[in-house]
Amino acid sequence: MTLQNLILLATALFVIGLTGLLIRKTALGLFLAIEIMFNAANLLFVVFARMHQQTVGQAFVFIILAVAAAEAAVGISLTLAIMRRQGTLDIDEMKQLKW
Amino acid sequence: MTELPPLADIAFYLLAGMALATALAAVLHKSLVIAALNLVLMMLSLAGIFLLLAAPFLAALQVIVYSGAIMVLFIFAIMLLNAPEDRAGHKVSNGRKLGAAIAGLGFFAAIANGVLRNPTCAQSLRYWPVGSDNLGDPGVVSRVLLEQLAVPFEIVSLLLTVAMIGAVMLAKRNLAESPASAEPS
Repeated sequence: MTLQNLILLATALFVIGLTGLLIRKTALGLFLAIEIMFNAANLLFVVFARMHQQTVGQAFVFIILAVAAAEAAVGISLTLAIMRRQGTLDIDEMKQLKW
Repeated sequence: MTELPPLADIAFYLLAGMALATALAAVLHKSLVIAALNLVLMMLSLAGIFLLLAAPFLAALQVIVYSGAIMVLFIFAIMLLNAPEDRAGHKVSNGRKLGAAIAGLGFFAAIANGVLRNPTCAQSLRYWPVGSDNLGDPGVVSRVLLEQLAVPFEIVSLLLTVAMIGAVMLAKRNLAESPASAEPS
């Protein structure tokens, strides 16, 4: 288990999440992709906490976990409200804010 | 004489491969329910990697909060919104897929280039139980959280309260107008 492998694993996960963010068209699919990116960032925090023998990195992951939970709750209820109002989850049709 | 790699090495590569495969499936599968279930598997394998990296507390949190609470919320929303299929998925143009692949591969190549050239990154980390480090014990993490990071900790609790109230407000029916008369203009 070298540092290299772990960083490459986290980067690969982040890139997979990024690609998913770009190719999904359903709002809920985007949330799934964002969760993958959150997890990649968490993994990097834990890896570097291990490398430097510092617990602060792990405490940060705790905070990121809470932020991710808040993001999921607000994001899903936003999606629910948009679905009620417009009857669609396709992100290309959500362009009310586009000027 | 061939030597078997240590068991922990096998566990690490197995978990890493599983995380990558399930993440790919979560992004590419047409059915959102299957994608979400794959994401649960990815989070479980990351919890295993956290264990190897001396973070038992975070591994437990990952299982309880991520693959427990958050993913249940997601699956609930997918079922509730009746969106088990990425129906719009077939409309994604090839140019968009190509662009996403190029962006992803370029990003990965840029970071991998830097990581592979950096000699610091070649060091290997010991598996957790061997050195018996306690940097990830619940007591140690909580001490850092409540002493050094007390202010961010309180801000996060405020954020969670605000998010909860916001979620209830947003998801409430009949906020300003009845949903039937809401015309997208």
